[in-house]
Amino acid sequence: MKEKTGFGGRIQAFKSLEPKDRRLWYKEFFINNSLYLFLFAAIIAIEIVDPMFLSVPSIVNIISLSAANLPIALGIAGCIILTGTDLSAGRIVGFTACVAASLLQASGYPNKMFPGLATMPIWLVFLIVVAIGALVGTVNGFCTAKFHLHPFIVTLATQLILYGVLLMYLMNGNNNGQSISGLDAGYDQFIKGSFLKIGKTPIPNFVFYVMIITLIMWFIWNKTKFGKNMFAVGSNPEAANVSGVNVTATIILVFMLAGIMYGVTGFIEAARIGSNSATTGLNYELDAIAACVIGGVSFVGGIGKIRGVIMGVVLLRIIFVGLTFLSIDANMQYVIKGLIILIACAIDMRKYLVRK
Amino acid sequence: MNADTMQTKKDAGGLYQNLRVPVKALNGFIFVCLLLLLLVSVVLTLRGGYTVSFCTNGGTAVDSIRLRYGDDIPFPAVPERTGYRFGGWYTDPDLTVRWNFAEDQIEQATILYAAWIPEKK
Repeated sequence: MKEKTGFGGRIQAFKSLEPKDRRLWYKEFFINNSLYLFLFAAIIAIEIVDPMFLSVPSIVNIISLSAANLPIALGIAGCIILTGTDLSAGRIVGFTACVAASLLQASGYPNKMFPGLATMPIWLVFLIVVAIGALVGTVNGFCTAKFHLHPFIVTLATQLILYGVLLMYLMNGNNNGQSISGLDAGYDQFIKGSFLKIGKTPIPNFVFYVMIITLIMWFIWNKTKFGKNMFAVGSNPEAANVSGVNVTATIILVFMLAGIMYGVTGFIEAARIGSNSATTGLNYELDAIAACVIGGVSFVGGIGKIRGVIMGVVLLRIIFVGLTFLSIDANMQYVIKGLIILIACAIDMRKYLVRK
Repeated sequence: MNADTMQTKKDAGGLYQNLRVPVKALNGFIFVCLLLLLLVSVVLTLRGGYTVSFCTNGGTAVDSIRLRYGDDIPFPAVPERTGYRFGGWYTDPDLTVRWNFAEDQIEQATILYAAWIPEKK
């Protein structure tokens, strides 16, 4: 019998199981995918209750919201693969968003932070903002790798320090602590404008930028030595070290890459929300971590796929838009979010314990 | 034999390193949580709805109403205030953005603020 690999091989293996093993396979399948099945059923139920839920404008809205939250999830996924976490993600997004917004305010705007500043080129602000993200990420990675502090503590400290820096930054120039708004029309058009429409609904440009970034991340994760090292260090740092992987450099680079992704998110977010203050980016990392766990990035370490992260982000967004369609109070949505995360973590833990 | 021990040595376990939770307990936990999720979702949906309250800024009171996502707000009773004419409903306390009853739809709990124009004697 010719051995097939991949999906065909799995079907072949399934067909060759005895009935008792098949029952076990069904049981495992249903438990491991119970959350996805439940959410899928919920989506169908919401669509029945309110058919506008899956209308074209609504779907484009869901895609836009998912695209806005995808880069930060991709960044944090790297940290989770290293069995760490990154609590500073949201604040980095907020800080970079405020910096980008302050440097790209419309020239005639009365409350402009730097009144004498001419209109800066967008690519330059992008590089500045990404560099800031990379810098904070490198600090996170360095403290984690060199001093062997747990990423939880390091990123918690970074989060608080960055918040203080942000509050001081907002007092700069002409701003005096207000929200930064009145963005340059060119910048706004670059992010939120669109050259493609589905029916009558325009698709914002940033969706395409995020697609390009996701492809780059996929390439880094799967086709570079750095990606392979990341997975090796995540699943077993001692074994990786023995095999010749530079564990310190890998950890620093992963956190730096995450910081770069947060900078990208901040750059897009600044134009997307339009008005940026000290609360921009608050708690974004919680949604990102939840999306990663739902998408199969395991807390065991060394396990995760780009398509899983994408699926987790999109699924989470669909559910939240769906909850709004059901007219559920925004405050109560946190209860449902918490339960979903709990179930996703329990399933993740179960997958590891069954394998042991 | 060698391949198996290599496999278990490869996975350091991360967060689950020294965990001794029985799988059956986890199965039960997952099932209970899913049930809870279903219950909470159904209850919250049935009790769902967004409250639209009307802040009359000194005029006679107008009752708040409960609507669902996507509904239009039905035009409420016009409040009265001595010495003033009613000037319309706005979405913010600073009375800058007017609520368009024909087009705007409910997306969250909303408070509408009444504007008053002083009556000339």
